[in-house]
Amino acid sequence: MASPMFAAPPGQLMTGCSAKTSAIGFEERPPASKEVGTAAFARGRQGLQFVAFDDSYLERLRRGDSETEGHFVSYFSELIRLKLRSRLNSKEAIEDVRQETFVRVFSLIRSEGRLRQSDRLGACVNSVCNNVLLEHYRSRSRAESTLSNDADNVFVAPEPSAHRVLEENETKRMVQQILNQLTEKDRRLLQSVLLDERDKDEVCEEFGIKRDYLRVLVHRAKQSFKSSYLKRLAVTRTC
Amino acid sequence: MNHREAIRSMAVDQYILDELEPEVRQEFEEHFFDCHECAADLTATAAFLDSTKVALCAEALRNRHTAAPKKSLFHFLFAPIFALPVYALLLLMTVYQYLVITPRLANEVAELKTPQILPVISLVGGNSRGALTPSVTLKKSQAFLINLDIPAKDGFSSYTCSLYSPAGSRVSVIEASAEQAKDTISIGVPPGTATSGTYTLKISGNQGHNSTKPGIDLATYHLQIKTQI
Repeated sequence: MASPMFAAPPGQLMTGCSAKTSAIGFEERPPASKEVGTAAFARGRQGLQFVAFDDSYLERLRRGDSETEGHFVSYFSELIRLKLRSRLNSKEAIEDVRQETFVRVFSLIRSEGRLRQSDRLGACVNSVCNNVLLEHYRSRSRAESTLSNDADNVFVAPEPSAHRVLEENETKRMVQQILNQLTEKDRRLLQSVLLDERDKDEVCEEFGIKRDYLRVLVHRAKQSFKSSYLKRLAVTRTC
Repeated sequence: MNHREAIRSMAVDQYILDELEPEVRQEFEEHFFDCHECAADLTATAAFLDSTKVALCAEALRNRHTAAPKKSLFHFLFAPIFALPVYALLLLMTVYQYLVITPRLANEVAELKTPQILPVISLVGGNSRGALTPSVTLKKSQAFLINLDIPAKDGFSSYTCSLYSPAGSRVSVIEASAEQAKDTISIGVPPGTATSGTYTLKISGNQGHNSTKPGIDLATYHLQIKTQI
């Protein structure tokens, strides 16, 4: 899935999130159509350029620039999914909320006088998502289906590109390398929590550790993965 | 929640592990939707844990296929707590056999091959009434000879000479043919057979070859054996 990578291109300042003046994200190479959300995301990353969530970006969104829309949807789709996966049980529900969120956000952006500050884009998306989620809870009259194991072909191309395959293989290799460096105890701990999905308090008691240990273990283990992963995203070129 | 607080509290890891309180979770979500650094960290962490889950699953499947074979019924024989004492005992027995038993046997074989003068106890003439019981003094584990005249009679095809210990158990038996019984015979008693005490030698006659009838007692002799320590 598409993930943003942040680095300041020459001549541009990295203001950081504390100022909330701009967020720098990646922009995908132009997709073929102006479809919002699904199709743009399904196309996947084909190339990355550095962009800033500034006034010009907001203006391009208002005008319906497909390239900007694609980047906007790609960037915030990932964050919305991470937000929703602990709240909703089914992929269908997550997708429904995601789609509705973008529909309303674009409506806000394109409405006269509704959204003028480019630095509020992120807060706007989060806020709209919260509202849609609340409405989803209220209107949830149908039985929630459990998470399906079927492949979500809305988001994944049936035939991934060679580049994506290479990236996935590299990811697997990195993760395996990191796992091989862990002690047997840490591996079993991760297996109990991630694979067996056991209660964390029960697992910590069994292993004789505190909850902090698990958090620190994840934090340390991901460091080497994170730098390489984000670096790879930064240097991805069009296949 | 500001960025510094998010870093200090490892909010990304807590969020991914679903350890944040609802209010704190909402605050962090408001933050990372605006913070590129935390958003990138969150995305990478989620990708890492998702990939780790896949790798662990594959590893679990591999381990299941190469699981240790079922233990046999006698696997406990090879457990150290059982095997070590057994092996130690076997070693001890081997050493004892090598250092004690084998040399003793070798000496005994050597003695048998070496010509030697054996003590003789003569029962020729039998235990006449009032006579002293014949005796012989032996060294430890020494063979000796018993000379006697079998009271041969017609009608016996062979004679059985049985030596009984002081306790009454038969320690040695030998058969003599009718032809041999015509002369004085010398019975060799192997070394280690006798200990100190009064032994009894019974002579019985056997009628017919392969006869199942018990022999007829013909004579009983007493002999005294003394062994030197």
